[in-house]
Amino acid sequence: MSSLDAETTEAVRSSLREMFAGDRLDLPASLAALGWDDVVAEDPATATTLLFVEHGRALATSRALNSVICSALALDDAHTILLPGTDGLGSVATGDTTATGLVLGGLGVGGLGVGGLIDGDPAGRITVPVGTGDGVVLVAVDADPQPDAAPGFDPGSSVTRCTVALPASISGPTVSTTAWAASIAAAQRATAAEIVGVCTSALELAVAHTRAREQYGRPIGAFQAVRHRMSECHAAIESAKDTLRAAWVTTEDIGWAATVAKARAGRTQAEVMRHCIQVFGAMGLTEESDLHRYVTRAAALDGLLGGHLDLSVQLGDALLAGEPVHPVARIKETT
Amino acid sequence: MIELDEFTAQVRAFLDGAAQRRPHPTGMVTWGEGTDRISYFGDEPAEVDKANVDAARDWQRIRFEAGFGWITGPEEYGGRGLSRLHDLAYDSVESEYDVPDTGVLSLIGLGMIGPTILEHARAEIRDAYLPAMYRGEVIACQLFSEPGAGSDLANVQTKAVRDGDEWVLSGQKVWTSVAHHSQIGMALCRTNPEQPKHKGITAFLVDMSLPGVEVRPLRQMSGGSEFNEVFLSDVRVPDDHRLGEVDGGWRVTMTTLMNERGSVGGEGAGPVSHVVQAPFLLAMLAAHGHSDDGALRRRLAEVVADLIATESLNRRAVRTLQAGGTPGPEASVSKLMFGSNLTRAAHLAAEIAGPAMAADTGLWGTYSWNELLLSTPALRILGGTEEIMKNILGERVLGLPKEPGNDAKVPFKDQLQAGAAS
Repeated sequence: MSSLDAETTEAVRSSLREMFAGDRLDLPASLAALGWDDVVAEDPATATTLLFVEHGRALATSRALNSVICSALALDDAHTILLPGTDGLGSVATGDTTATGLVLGGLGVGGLGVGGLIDGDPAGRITVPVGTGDGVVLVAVDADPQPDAAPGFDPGSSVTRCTVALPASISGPTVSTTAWAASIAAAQRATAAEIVGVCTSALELAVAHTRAREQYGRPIGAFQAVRHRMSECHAAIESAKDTLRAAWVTTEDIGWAATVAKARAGRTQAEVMRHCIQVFGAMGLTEESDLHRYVTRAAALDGLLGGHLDLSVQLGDALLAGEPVHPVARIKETT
Repeated sequence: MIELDEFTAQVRAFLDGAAQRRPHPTGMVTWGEGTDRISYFGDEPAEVDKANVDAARDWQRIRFEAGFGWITGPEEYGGRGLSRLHDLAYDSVESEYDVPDTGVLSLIGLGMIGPTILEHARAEIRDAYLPAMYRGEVIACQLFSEPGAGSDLANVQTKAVRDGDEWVLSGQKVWTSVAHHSQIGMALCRTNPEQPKHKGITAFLVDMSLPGVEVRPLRQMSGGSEFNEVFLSDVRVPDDHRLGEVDGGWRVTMTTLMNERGSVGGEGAGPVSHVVQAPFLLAMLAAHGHSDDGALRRRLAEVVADLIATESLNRRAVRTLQAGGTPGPEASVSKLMFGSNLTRAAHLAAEIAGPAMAADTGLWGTYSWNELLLSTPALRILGGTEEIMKNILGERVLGLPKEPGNDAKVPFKDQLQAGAAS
């Protein structure tokens, strides 16, 4: 695996930014036009991080995260994966009759209507990972789907909670628990990058605001109480980026590394949004400013695949137990 | 003055006749029982909002007629002429009863603007408005903040120009709570741009039904719409509605703001006090199976300790008032702690509930915290941002030098020319 040089990285970044700035995003088509598969093959870490950072910056909605899991499991992109539990880190075991969890991807206007998931499996099926003694069986079930809960925190979010019925006897392609864990790790890294993107945009908005907004005869960014908040945001974002970089270069225990990266990104969004919203004053609380969209999106992404508070507890428990932890290992404990 | 015991007995007699007791005394919580609505701001649909306002007005009228509408107010305006301790005693007893929330009237109008009118308005204006306000007929709002005057409130640019016995007001106000329910507003206007910014402001009472007053709602991140923009276009206000001296509006404003910090900080957790309290949070910890979680227990204890400390601080502030003092900079501490307590309580709840809070799964007392969680940033901003509160504490309590800058010394008009006012 080689790595993209600085010039190429910059070119890819600006292409992606231009793509996300477009009116109607057809991500798979646009990425194909960019020759994305070649970019990913060249340098998966840089490519994936760039894609999701820009995705976050633009507050985009797409099936990209679902594709990350499919790609890690060598599945066709048309599969719509159900991530069990309220945060997508739960489990479904043999014998369960229903599975509730999150599906990723843009549901479009009309949501899960006739014709199944928009852009998803044309047959309207959802792929449910079921843990067995031999590994994780990927069971395709008819979705008959109605989202069973409001999207919640972030109305613009691309995550929906669904409940589907499971067949009495399960069958489907089987992947090892290690492979499943690796796919979750890939999704956690992508989500961490997306959070970094959301935070970066929010900080840019806040910095522009503190440079332009004047009180007491000068820009509020001239006051230490305000500028220190901006500096802390920057430090938090850089720390999240570095943790994410480390998660990509780790060759052993990628689940552990991805969990750390996701936890750090989640904590970063909590810090960044707290500071940004404060410097926006009352403007940040209403729909007068766009900031609220970043606040709710970042919180929704934090809650996906493990919120930073929960992940911190998990990591702490694992450290105390003296061993690294894979998501699937943890999933089994909670069933 | 009537003794506190006798007064309390009167309050009980009144409330027994006029209201129902709450099923549980304050502090008792049965998890899963009753409403789990947790909202600091009114985020209801318009018709519910209106019904709540009507209920608040009715309850305030009943209180007033029974002699409990303005316990500390002068008798000539229908008040009882009693102390803040009597007032507190009333609040304490009333909290045992199920009565409408009167925040829409009391927080700003009765808590801040009423005292300002009493101190700074002329006699006929006091006669015209004070009894009507405390009887629940007139709701008042603060026409203070502007797009260019938030933390730097003295930077107001709304103009008031004298024309015979009237003043002509024009400009834009923003973040105006309850303006859409208000009959009057207290407006800060620039009357003398030749003077430094604090010395050219005049305060007026504006009848919100006058031609040229337009109220537009602003939508909040938490869903509701409690703030407004208020546009003043050549609104003609009679000179007798002026509060204080011409160009003396900053002194008038200080009366209001000191009452604001006392009012916001002093109300404890206000409309969310039923959940921001030890028994509720304790019950929540147990309901989610986290009673033995050391980290959460510690966080809970920290929140509870600060709630108790804030309450004690507020009681101390009342004793200061009792001893003849005026609300001082310590109200800023109370305001700071208020914002911080509610924020930490909401975050603690989020941590207890975990991912269950992310989507509305119908679990009682869980998703409902979102509204408060999304409102907490506002609590660190409204009524003076944390940064401003800390500056007040630094400069006026600790005696630190003022932050550098001389915009308080140059004439307001020169500041504008220098492009210093946004």
